[in-house]
Amino acid sequence: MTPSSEALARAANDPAWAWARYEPGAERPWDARLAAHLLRRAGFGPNRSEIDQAAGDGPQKTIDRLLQPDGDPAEFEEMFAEYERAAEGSVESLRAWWLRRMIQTPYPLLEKLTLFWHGHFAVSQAEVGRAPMLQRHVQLLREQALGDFRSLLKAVMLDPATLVCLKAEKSRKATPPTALARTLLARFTVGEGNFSESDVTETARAFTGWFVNRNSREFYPREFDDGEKTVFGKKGNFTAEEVLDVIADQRATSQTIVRKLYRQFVSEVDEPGDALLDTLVDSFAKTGNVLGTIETVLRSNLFFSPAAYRCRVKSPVEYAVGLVRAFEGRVATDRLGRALADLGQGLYNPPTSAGWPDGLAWLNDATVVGRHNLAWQLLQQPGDNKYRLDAATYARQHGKQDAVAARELFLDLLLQSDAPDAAAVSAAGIEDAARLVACLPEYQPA
Amino acid sequence: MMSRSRLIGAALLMAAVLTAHVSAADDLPPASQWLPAGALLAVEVSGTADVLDLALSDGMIDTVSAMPPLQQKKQDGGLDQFKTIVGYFEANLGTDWKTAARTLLGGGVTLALYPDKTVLLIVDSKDAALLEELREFTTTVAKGEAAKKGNADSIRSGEYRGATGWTFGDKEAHAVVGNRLIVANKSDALKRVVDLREDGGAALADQAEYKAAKAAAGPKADAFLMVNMGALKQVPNVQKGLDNVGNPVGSLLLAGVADSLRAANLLTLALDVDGDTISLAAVSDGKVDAAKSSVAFAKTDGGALPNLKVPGFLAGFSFCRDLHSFYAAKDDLFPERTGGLIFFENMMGIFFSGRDLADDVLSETEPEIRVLAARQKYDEEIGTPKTQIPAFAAVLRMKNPEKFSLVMEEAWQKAVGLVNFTRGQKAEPGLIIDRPTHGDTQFTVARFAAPKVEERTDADVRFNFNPALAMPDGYLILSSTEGLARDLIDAVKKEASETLAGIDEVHSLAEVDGTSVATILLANREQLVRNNMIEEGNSRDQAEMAIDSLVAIVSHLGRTKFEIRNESGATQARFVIELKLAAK
Repeated sequence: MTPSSEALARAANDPAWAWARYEPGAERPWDARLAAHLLRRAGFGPNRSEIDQAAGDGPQKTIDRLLQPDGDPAEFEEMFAEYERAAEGSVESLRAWWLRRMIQTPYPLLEKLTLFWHGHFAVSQAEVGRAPMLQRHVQLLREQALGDFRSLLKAVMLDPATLVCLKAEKSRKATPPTALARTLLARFTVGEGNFSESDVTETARAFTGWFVNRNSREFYPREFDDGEKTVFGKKGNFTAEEVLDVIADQRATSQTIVRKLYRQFVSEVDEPGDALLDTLVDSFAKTGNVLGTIETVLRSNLFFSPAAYRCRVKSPVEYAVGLVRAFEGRVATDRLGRALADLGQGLYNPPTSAGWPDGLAWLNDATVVGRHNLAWQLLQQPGDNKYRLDAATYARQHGKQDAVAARELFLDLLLQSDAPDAAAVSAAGIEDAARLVACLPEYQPA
Repeated sequence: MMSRSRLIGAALLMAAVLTAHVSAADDLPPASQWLPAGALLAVEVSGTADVLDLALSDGMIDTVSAMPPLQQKKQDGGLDQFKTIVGYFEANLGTDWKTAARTLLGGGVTLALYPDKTVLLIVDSKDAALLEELREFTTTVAKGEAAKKGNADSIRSGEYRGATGWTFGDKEAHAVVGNRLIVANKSDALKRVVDLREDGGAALADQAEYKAAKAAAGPKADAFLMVNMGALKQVPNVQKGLDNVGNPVGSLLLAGVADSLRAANLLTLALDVDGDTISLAAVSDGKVDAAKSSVAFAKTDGGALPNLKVPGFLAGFSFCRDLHSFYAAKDDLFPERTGGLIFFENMMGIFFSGRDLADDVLSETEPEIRVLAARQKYDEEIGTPKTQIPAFAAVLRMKNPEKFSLVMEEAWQKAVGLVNFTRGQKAEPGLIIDRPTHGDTQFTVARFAAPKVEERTDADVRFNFNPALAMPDGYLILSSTEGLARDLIDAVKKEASETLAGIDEVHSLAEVDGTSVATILLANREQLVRNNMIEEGNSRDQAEMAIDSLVAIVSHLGRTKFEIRNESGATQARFVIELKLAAK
């Protein structure tokens, strides 16, 4: 039995232990490895000083700071919101600004959750086409990413971008938006197998009357089907907001969201049993509090156990943004945005209504080569290189003058010595060493 | 104190960047006789005082000093070290730096680049003693720097066939012979210079391309650059770049320039400096078979018309092209693009109600085509858009205005309709067509409805456009804005009242007003800074510095003119910049 499956088995047998607060001890001491693990999952990857600070502060203080960063991030958020509004004519510019936001944000958890919800609701440029609408949609996700799920769901489902994306631009009484209703139930809330065809048609009726005119949402009472509807056994003259309440009340909705948060923060390797998640589901169903659920996960024994450690594959965005943040560089994010789209994760453009795939779906022959090429480009020599991640200068700034010391520095920075015997790196010069570490199989999991 | 690399840099920079001429010192043959033949590229500065007068003028120094990066360095104290170096240099050589530069470079500068990446530079000083003092000074300082760091200095010297050479490291070697400084990036290359001097042999001065370039530049040129195109075209990227120009629009605009370069064995650039005006003439020896090149459609009989002058003029392009013949020959010129061109032609068929694009539309235009851009004045009722785009227009002349003007009017209104339909699909506001009058000319304009009062301070980008079509006195004006259309109606009416005269043998003319372009850049500074941040990965401070520097440079370019002519199949280009330096 591997340490990972052993820890998962223990968690399954003892959910109370799994979600109890992690306290460092001899069995699982707090160190740079766990500090980096926490920073990777709650953000996009740490730099050297962030790892050192977290290692010194301990888990609880670090988690406090991740949940609510020091200082006021409002100024940062306002500045970038303004940049994005000004760039709203082009999705490519929006993508570039979002990547830059991820690289520079003082509140990585917020951006991580914004990206999470973007993948969940999967509103895409291919369907919407209008950059201003997409900009407002992602800003809405950001504003509500860590709050109450019910509010988020209502805001998203009546957002013009969602309505356009789900072919519900003109929801007339005569043609209720069944595609929207089906996606809402199957993808966003209760999940496949947990609703009937009748629930779909009745939910669609509740969304009639809503139109998107000139990029704005309008409600036309004359087009609203005000008859009685029955959804999940409840009867009423439901409006869209009221039917969303009914759907949000379903335990299956909480299970869907909690299970998805588990994959995002804990592990993609093993599917957890219902019993393990029940504690979280109960709490989420009661409060709908996204941040509270994440806090429980991040502080838990399970999160810091081998069952969670490097048990997720980094998405292309996590991979690239993590590298840039680690080397504390700034890069041409419009170019990076295009490179990430080539790797399958074009921001503002999830491929299907199911969002992006996760886990091993990110790694195949083509994408592994693509990741290697991207790492190679990101860590090119400065000069013509607009990515400007300069590994040699970074090594010198950290007092590492020779290749051996630089290799150790990069292994420590990116892998916290999880691959101490990396033969592929052992003979490399300073520049190549950084690239080779970024290409190691051990660097692909988060 | 200065580092060794800075010292070398300072010495070489002065030699390479500042320039001068005079025939080589009296007792030495011309530098081109000491450099081996076979150069890929050679530069010979042979106009002396003019270049240095401009480079060292108060206006140029004040202009450069006012550039944002230098201002920033000044504020940060970053220039203090530089000033110390200059002061140290002046004290040791016993002269001020400007005089030293004029003396050290005054005999001329010759540089050659060879296919094996060897670079050789010869600087002829007017004062052998000063040159030797400089060499000793740099050597002494380099030794001192090394000693200060506890390192052994890497300066080496050696004798080779009676000449003494020095090197500061692997990538540099130099020697002083009389008043001549010879610098190479490889010590072997320095030996080749000595061998040539001692034994004779094929020198740059004997290279056919060099001789041809010198002759093409003429005796009045202050400097010339010889590019051995035959050898350069062997570089895959150069070949690829030349091949890429083969698209229809590029071919039409460049009119055989790429064909000429593809056929060329030699490209000569001659520099002439006269006060604050810099002229650069390019001559290619590539002869083009007119029957197989788009150059055939660049008409030089009559020549391109001068650019029209309008208020807020930014840039103007004037061409003389036979559009009908060009398009009729498309299958021969661009056989691989036939599919795309057929699609384009079918689309045009919709606008022109099934008329044949070549025979019924393009044949109705005279060969003079002018395109220009100008600053916009925004109507108070519209407000100022957050991104300010210059107005632009195309001006042609019609052969049969009475017949063709109706065809154009119909096509233009269809185009507006198509724009409206497409925008409507995206739930965006459309254009409203109007028929105002300017003077005695009635024209057609399409405008967006005015934005709400609260939106006028940061109006949408669409308010940069209110396209117009005007056809006064046989001219055809297609403008992106009503304001520019009105200005052009005035301009063409004035032109029509005078005798139309093209610029003889010139088939392409471009003029840019740097000061006006700088104004537009400044108006869009915030947007440019933001674009720079995501396109270059710069911080906001770095981006502001980059954009402010760009604005400063452009604003000093003054009026820039570029013209291309074709004489007996050979292409010649002339580029003139009237610098607008800081007030002296």
